[in-house]
Amino acid sequence: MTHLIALVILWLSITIELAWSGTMPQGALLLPIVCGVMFWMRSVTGLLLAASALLIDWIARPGFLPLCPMVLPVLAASLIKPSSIPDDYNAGRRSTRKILAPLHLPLLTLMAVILQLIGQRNSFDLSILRELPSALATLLPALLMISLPVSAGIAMLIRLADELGLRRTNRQWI
Amino acid sequence: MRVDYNRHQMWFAALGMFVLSLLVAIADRTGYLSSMRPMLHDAFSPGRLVVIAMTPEPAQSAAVASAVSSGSARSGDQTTARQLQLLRQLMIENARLRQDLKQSRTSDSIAQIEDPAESFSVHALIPANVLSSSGMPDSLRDLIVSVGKSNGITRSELVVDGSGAVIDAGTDAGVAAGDRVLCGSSVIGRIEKTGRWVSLVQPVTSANFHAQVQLLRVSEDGLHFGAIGMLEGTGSTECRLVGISYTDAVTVGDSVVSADINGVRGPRLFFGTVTSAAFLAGGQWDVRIQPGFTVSELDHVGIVHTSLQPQIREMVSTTR
Repeated sequence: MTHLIALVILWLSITIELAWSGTMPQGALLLPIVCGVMFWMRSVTGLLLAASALLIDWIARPGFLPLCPMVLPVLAASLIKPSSIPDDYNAGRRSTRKILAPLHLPLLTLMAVILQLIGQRNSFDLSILRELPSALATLLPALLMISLPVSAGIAMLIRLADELGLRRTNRQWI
Repeated sequence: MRVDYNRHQMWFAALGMFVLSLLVAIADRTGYLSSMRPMLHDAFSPGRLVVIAMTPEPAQSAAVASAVSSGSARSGDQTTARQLQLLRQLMIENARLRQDLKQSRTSDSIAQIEDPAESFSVHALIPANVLSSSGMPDSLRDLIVSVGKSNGITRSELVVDGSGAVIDAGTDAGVAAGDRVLCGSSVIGRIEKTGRWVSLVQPVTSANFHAQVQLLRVSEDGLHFGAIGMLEGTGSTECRLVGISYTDAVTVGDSVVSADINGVRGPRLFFGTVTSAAFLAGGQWDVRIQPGFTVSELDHVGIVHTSLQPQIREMVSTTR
């Protein structure tokens, strides 16, 4: 059931972006939702579903390179705990990593947005490195204005679901 | 142990997606995905059309927003009455504009019927949104627009830059060299494939693009139409003009406009500007043309749809 809902949400977010392609920057809605799906499901299926949505979006609206579906799953695999471990927010000694745990999702979204902007460039040569700061300065705020609040909302939703026991692990309810 | 197993699986999945994405990128470069792209957009189109249908019109939403903002600033019945009055005025204005538009369309169609010089065909501009504009390379290798078979679009119809206006009148309607063109349209490409709701555009710079064009020079005496040749895409950011004899004059800066639209005389559409002209060994010109559009600003385009006059279409259908 979770897989089906995730699939529908991903499909809807792509259709909304296509419908508002003139006003909404590409990836502003899809990227935080993809990251949210990865963090919510914390499984191989979640990772594959989200990355496939990114790949399909790239096929539909191609750029120079599909950097997001290439790199984002790798980043997510390094950040996300598998679903067999509960997201332990407070147990034990509060290390810096644990304190920063709620920021992982917005951080991943930020990286996804940057990857998206780099992947959208027309070609990849040395000039891109010179143009990158100015391109980021002009395009990044418009993307982050939508994607970061959405990402923060999803992060809070995940935390709430953990507190209410709506997000199941493989072994136990959190 | 299970945690490690799950983590390893996630890493394998991530690496698998990396390889798959790389393969997809290679397939895209080699052109294997061009037929798949309209199908994907068609699959998303039902949802997209529902979202568009649910989205309020910009003017409507702006009116609602202004009404809401002014309503919050003021209070009492007086404000509500003013808002209602404004709303009524807007509705009356809207109805009047609709009536004007209807009358204008009717008079246009009557004028076309009464004009004996009018050809059998009629050119209409079908507006379309660009669905895959952002992140697109300069060569415009795949442009997807939001109209398809359901809008009557067929293969090989010209796509023009929607920011300009297509003049729905050619030489048959009395337009002659020397007449001033106030607003023109740049040709972006032509329809290559049509889906039900979306269409794939072949850009003018594509290697397979061909169109009959004519040189146009602006001088102090007015406009001078020059030689007719064939415009070909080169696969790069520029186009080539072939078939111009060495006896014809070509100058850098000359404009290149359409000679016809799919064999039918119609509005002159702008293709680009001559950037270089050199003699070939075979006694022909090698003319390079810079297309007259900027890719980054493409949000809306127009498709020049050529069809028979409605009366002739009826006659044809009745004779069948």
